[in-house]
Amino acid sequence: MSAHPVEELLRIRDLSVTFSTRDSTVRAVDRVSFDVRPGEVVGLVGESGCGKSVTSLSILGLHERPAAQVTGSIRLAERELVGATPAQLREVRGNRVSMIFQDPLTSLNPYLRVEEQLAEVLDLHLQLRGQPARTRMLEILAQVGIPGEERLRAYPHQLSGGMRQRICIAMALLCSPELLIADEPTTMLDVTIQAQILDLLRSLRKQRNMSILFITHDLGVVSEICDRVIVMYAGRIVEQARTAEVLQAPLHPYTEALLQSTPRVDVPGGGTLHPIGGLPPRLSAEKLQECAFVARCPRAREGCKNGEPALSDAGGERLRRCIVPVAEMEATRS
Amino acid sequence: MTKSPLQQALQRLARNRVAVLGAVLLALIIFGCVLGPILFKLDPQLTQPALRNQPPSVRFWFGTDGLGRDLLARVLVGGRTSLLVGLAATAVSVIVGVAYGAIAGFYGGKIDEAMMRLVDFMYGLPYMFLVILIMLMFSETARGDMLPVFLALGLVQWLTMARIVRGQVLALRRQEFVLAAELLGFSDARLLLRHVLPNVLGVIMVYATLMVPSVIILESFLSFLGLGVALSWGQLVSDGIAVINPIRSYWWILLWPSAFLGTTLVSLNFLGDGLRDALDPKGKP
Amino acid sequence: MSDQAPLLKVRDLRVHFATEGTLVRAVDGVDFELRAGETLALVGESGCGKSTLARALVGLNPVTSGSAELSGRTITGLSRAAARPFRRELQLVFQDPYASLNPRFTIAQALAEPLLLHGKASRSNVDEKVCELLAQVGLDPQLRRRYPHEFSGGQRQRISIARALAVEPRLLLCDEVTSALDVSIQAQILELLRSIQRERGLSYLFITHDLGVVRYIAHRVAVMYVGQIVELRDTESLFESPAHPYTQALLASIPRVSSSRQERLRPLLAGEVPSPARPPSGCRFHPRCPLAFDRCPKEHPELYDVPGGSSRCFLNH
Repeated sequence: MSAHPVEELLRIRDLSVTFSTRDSTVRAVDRVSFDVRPGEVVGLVGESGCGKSVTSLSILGLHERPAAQVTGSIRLAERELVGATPAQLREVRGNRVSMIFQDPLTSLNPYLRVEEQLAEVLDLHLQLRGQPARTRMLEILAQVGIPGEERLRAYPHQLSGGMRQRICIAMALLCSPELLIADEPTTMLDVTIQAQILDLLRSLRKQRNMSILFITHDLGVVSEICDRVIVMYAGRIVEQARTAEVLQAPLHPYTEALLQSTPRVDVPGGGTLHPIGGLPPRLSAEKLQECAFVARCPRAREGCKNGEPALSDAGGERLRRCIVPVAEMEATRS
Repeated sequence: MTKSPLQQALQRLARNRVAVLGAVLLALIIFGCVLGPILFKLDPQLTQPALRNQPPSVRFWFGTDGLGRDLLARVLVGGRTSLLVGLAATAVSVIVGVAYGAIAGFYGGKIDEAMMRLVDFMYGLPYMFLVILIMLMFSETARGDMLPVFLALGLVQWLTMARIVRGQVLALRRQEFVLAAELLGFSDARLLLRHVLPNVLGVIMVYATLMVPSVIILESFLSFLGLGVALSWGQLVSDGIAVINPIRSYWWILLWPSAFLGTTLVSLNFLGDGLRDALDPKGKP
Repeated sequence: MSDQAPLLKVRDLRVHFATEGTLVRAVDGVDFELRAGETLALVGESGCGKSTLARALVGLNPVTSGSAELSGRTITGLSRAAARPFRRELQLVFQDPYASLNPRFTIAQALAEPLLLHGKASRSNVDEKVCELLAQVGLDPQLRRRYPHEFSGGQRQRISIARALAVEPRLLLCDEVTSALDVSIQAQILELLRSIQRERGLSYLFITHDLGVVRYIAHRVAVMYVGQIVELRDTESLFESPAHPYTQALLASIPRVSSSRQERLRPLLAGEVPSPARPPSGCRFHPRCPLAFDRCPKEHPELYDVPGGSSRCFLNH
């Protein structure tokens, strides 16, 4: 890796999540490994069913057992989270690792006022009550761009989507977590509000040196906020690199195809769209005998069906899961 | 071939052991009551005073009552009545209730308001009072006749069905696939009958199944009051209670009709619950 | 496009709802025209009224005032019975692929029904026509005896499009039809819509919040804000040189894939999107507009001509 080994904040190794129902077994996440360093924003990108949300939920142990089986290792600094007891997990949640979700309306309790929801967190983790708690609430709300006391007394349904998401962010930050997991936090927001929220997250990250694991399907958002990107497909990592590298010079055909099928706002006519034909594969628990993307891959060739490619090093902390030579990909970029 | 949502639901139902148990018991009881008396040539009315109050024996499986009548015969034939009343009264309430609720829910607005006001008003009336009143009205003309009982029970039960159906239809009416059909130019009748109601069928089936036991109990209660049909489980239970005394216990006269009544009710409830779970949106996409 | 009369003419359309004592002016004076074979995109954020407008055009929402004409015949303000003859010509495809198909019908049944009812097929050849329709939207006709729940979101949208096409409409309203789909599937559907338009000369009124999609598929764009059109222009003109400050802010807010972590070209748009129940005075955008001046809160701007279209801003007057 690098010459100066930085201590990772989050270290995930061989994480697999399998869901078993009476009728079928689905391996939603297959041997995923990656790190998040302190102060870094890592993007987890992919389309629906790729396993990004399932991965993020695993970190805080939010899957229901016995339906979900989680194997592998998730280490937060020195502490192992896979197989941790509920008490241990509760200690981490909202405290060292916080999470915000896609729909701020369902993330907030509709029956409680904002101040009550914030007070709960402060009481549980920081044992703050009364006036000190109130001060902290106002502090945090100011930091997320909600000045003044009026909003504290409001109920979630009285607030706009953007406001609600800010409240969720405030709640997530109350205990100054080291890691914030954000699962599609701006997908349901209007574009202009999304821009505000992304800006907010960027500045908060800088102020607090907080890491963010940012899950999204939107490559534009990734470009704006993420330092590094991990591309997922069919439950596995297919590419990993610094943002600019992945988006300017992708080394996996799926990433390439994804970029080419996104209409471009800044190109006349929206650019030429190259849709990816077909559908993602169904994920059973069995080992794949070929590359997961082969059926839809514009660069597929003979060797692709001879077993699943391994994640290989492409230099400079870049990883890719493809047998097409790098040189070929670079030469034939359309 | 691929399975329709209904077929999938039936499959799920088949996997629910408790529901299947209920269905099996119900089937046995129905067969017993319908075919038993014919196969075994049983006569519920034959009085044999010499053989009265006999406990269960090889000859009389369920024993005999105070008039020497074969209890097995009476329970099975009485079952025919109870089951028939249950089914027929439920059928009446389903037909009336679904029609009423569907129209109210489909058109919404003022029509719905007016129609539901009527339902609210009727709900407020004392239920048993109404039933008894209807029964008394008819008793001049035909005591012991079954038709008034069907009507009486069915006409009061339809209110619940109407409300349920109206709620479902109201919600479905605004679903996009119904709007799409409307935009394709289909008539109201077509929208309601082909698009909306088939999606309410499941709920109707569940509530109908759970309505049958309530009707049967109501009929039994009417029998206690002396307003019921001549020979039904309710009547038999009533008879059984009448002969309870501290000196001699004729337990069989009370036991068998109670057991059949109880088992039927429980089986219908199991089946109804099973249907509800099987049709649960968990299974829908 | 051509000099022929417009297919759709919308004049001062208003859709107001009275709820709980307040008047929600969801659509508040919208004018535009749509020609045959053209795609007009309706863009805007929440509360701008684009979906309400679409539903009003097909009769799912009552129109408060104003009118819409299809080939010269008025289609608004009609009873449900009077509107039925127009049902064929104007179809709407919905956003949610999971709610727009009747779960109890097979695909074949769902497509056969409109074909038969509108005389596009007889009992003897309806199955053939169903297969044709499915092939046109890129689906394997063998799948027609399946139920909706066996298809993916993208496939269901294709089926919904096929159903709308069955009655041979002149105008298709697409209400966020790709918003619920993954990017790669969205691209498939957009391509499909474009090719159908080429083949059949269909017009689209395309409602979306995604400006990238707009640039790809639309000939002209109408940007809506709190119930009104604030800019109406040729697509390329809009993206090259947006005239209205809201459009400018919208374009600046879009996160794009770029080589450097860009700094924002313009300051962020502050504040929330106003509710159509309480529109700001004068120009509705003035509270958030970085270029607002003294006239803006007082007077309400009209649509003024700019190259390639019009814009509702005093700066363009």
